[in-house]
Amino acid sequence: MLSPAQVDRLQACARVLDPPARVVMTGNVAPEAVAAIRAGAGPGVEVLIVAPGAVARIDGSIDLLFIGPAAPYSVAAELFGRWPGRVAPGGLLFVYGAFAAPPVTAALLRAIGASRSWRYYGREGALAEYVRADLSHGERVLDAIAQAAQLGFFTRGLSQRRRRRRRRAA
Amino acid sequence: MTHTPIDAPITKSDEQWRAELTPEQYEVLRQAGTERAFTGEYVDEKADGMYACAGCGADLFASDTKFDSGTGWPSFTDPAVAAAVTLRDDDSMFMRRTEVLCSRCGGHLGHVFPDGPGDSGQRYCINSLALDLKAAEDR
Repeated sequence: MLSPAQVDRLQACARVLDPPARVVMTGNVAPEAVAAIRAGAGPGVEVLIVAPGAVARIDGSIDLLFIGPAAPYSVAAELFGRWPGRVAPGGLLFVYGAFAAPPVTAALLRAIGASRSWRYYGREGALAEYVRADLSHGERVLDAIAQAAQLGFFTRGLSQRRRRRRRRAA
Repeated sequence: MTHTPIDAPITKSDEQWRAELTPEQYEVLRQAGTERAFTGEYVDEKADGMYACAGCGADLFASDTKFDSGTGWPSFTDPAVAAAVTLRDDDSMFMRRTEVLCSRCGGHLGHVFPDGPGDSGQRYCINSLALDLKAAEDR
């Protein structure tokens, strides 16, 4: 049940990949995300859905990486430790569950959020987008501020979830 | 495992539903709303039991058909019994989807998609707010 806007964004980004290009989708990948990427990818764009631990099976770099939600935190952290470094400069990283699922958000912010190698591009709901870049110190600070601004969305979701659990337990 | 009978449809007025459900449950079950992804209490739930309708208590989905779909909503491969849910075409939000309703009370549960991992090939994407887990030890 990805939103139409999320599907459109994935599709649009897959559509503009210049062949030969490679898309890798890993983590717990929603079927709609796969369908959106495949619908947008043209001839010569390879779309691979791979297990989180299969990083050694992929030769060369990645042009678009999609990371689906993973839990617990250790699994999510391993995903972010292994995969984003394989994305080529200028390549894209999509993270579903960003600023929504706690393990994904924590692992994302730790590995990517403060990194000078990634520019936060924005998010559509729980789908966040990053671009592989080489940020200056100033850009990095602005990037951190932009991501910190998303924490309101995250904490609202977290408190909704806690409230529902408390109500159920009462 | 015994199932709550589904052959006794429940009809209530809008006022009754408003009184019995929380505002969030009312929004999902009676107004066909959708809870935000990853905020539902059953997204990561692994306990054994039966997921019943939060509106009427009818048994809907067994925990052994639940799987991690990566969507941020609880997902199931099959209903507990086919007659427990009613399917209806839904063309809202500029998409063609199939809505899943509780057969007993008509409450909106979520949507079903033909891309599930089980033998049925179905993925029932259901709002946590529409469900009430009856843990196995409580039954």
